[in-house]
Amino acid sequence: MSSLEPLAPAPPSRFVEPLRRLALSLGLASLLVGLFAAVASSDAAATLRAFYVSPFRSSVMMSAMAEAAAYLAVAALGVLVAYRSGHFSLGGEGQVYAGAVAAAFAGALAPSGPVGLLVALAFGALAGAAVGAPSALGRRFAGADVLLTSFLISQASILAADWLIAGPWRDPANNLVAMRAVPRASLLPRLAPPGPLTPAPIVAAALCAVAWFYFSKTRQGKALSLYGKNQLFAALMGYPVKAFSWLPILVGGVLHGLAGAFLALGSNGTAVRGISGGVGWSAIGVCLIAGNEPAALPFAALLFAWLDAGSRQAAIVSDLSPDAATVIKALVIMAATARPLLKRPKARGES
Amino acid sequence: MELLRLSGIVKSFSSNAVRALDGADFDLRSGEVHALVGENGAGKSTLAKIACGLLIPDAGAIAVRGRPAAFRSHRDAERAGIGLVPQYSMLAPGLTVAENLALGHEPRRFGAFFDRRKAEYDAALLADRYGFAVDPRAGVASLGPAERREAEILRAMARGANVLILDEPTSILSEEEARALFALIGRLKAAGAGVVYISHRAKEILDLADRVSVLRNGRSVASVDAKSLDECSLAELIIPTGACRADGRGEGKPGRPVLELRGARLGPELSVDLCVRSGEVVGVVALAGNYLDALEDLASGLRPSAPGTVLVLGRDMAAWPSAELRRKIMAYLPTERESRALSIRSAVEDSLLAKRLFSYAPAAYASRRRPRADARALAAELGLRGRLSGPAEALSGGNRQRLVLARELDGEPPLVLACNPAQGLDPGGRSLVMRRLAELRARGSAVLLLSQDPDDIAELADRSFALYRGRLAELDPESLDAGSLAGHLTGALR
Repeated sequence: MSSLEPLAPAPPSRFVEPLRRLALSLGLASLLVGLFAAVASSDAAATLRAFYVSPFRSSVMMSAMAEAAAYLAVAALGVLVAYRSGHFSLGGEGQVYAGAVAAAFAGALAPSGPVGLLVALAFGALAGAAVGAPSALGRRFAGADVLLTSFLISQASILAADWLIAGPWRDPANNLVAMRAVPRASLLPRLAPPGPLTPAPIVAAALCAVAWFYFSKTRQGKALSLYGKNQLFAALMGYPVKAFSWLPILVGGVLHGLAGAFLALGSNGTAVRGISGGVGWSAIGVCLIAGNEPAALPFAALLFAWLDAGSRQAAIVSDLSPDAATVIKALVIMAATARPLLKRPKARGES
Repeated sequence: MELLRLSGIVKSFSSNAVRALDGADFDLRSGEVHALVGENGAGKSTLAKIACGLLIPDAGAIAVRGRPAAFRSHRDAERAGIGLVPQYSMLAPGLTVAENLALGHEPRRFGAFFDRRKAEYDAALLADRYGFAVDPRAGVASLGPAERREAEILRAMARGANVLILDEPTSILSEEEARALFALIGRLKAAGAGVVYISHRAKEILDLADRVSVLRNGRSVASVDAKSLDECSLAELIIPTGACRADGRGEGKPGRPVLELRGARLGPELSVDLCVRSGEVVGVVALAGNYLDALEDLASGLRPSAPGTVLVLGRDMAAWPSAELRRKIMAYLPTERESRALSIRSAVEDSLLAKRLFSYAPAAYASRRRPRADARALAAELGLRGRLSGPAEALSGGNRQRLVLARELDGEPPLVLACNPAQGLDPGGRSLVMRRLAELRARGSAVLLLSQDPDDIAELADRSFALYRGRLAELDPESLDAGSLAGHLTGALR
């Protein structure tokens, strides 16, 4: 008998838990959609048709869904980077909003064309980082609670962004409360007009792949994950814990800001008031459903985007409230993160 | 008279296809203490659970007082007179001792109401019969560990047990409480009960047991008269290594100072001076609450030493680059291994390779082949049993300690800070640790051994200190005996 006889239960593959979460989320979302249609709609069949079929009926709808999933996935990646390193940031919404405002501002001022696009994206990312920076620095130098500081600073930045859009940076020629339009040449190119599809989903998928490689295949990624699980242990292993205490929060800010820049430079063409629309909050749910696994993020983001698109369609063609999606998403997040539902069934005799 | 016999017991766990028991045998006679020993993961607990009906064996036979028995539940085993006293108390803390004893068998008044007075009378009678001091009317929450242990034993006896299975009964007891427990076991023996005694502590096994049975990899490998054993031969039975004692004390001359504490702040108005040189083991022993944990934090760099200093190889510890100090200079076996030495929710191999993570080339790490081979080699060297890709939290306490040892004692670190390094280990594991520390000393490492167990210090240290209320006193090995050591540890000899 080898000394390495496996005495512990066989661990599931790293992808099994995210898959289980995704399957559970999808199943539960379907069940709830059916339940809502039956209870809250006078024409359940039409509601269900609108929910399940409409989002996939045209290429425009599908590209809109992919586009929405891209923003969510990039923002969720920002959440994941911070969560994996043990930092629970609630600042995503403000960072996304700041990213959108900064990208729209820079895009409108920079020379029109690809350079303008790159400058706008960079400004968006930097603005997200700037909103995350006080939390990161507070953590590094004063041991401040990231959860609290990120939330408070995010709320403040939302107010500041609202003021900028409605005040000094408002486009007087626009009936909406919006900033000046970014020149068409500086926007993300449309890949399949008339649909809103841009390269954002490709960038989002690529970023998720990079994150997967970083956390699974690099030494720094492993060290950061170990730091996220036990900071004292990481310090005693000689890891660069000072950098780990703030850098991931800043990287999270960059990714949130980038998601905001995609929002402004995609179909919106500028930053309108409330452009972030809960992307920062939804990103937390996407990250939880994906089980903090970068490879599962695009799928979890697609699930969320489908719930949004389906409920919008159902609200248009039937009498289902558009808020149904919010309730369903909340219930799905609760279920997908409830440990008892995710537990592997125990074999008989296993203690 | 034979009270219990387990023959050819086989038990596999379907979840991981592991045979925890592979034809194990065990028997117990009336009026005997029969110790069941084995290294961590050998199958002792599984066999005990089968004997008391908590697990059902896949094959094999159980006989109680010569008659075949089949336990489908713990209650079946209780009816057959077999009681279990688990390692950690399973008494209901909100109830009194008498209520706990009566739980499930409550005496009734008018056939319906719980008769508290009768329950207390029965409990007092039982306690009196076996000479137990515990008050039946006392609330369990107010009891100390030793009294809880008494109550656990009484609960088993209240159900008519004449076979008692004690699983690590002294693990949470002080030395004095343990002695009281041994006296109690003696009384049970005299009353004709049989006791199955599961423990890692060689000394108490030899003091207490009449017979010792050894399990290895789920098989019974020996059943011998306890009188024929000493600590060394017992350790050798559990893990045959060929050499069971750490030797080499005083073989070489201590070299240059590796760890120096100079006026380092241990607590309010308390400072400590200590020097550990290469090629020597310096031992510090203390009872709980005497700043041993503060000394550990100081020596490991987790506690600021100002206004004093802690020097490592002549350089202020705070000035060392963290990566170099932690990975190349210092091996640290902390007392709190779960929070300091393990990433408990990560894979076993992650904790094993944590120190050498950055020694791999990026491509070699990405391919995972070499790291996995290294993890297997490290695990095999220390006899670590467990799935390397499984979470460290699935490992038993002893195997967790082996994991830490495998990582920290790899290579030849100039400085080893070993804090209660043998805690939770079976005698074989303890012997392995002591031998490894002695080997490191022989190769020139400086070892600072902090322990609450005087045996650790006595076995290994070249120079020993007692720590009492934050003050160190050097112990003279020539005149040291149990009495004078106790005097130093309690401050009577200062």
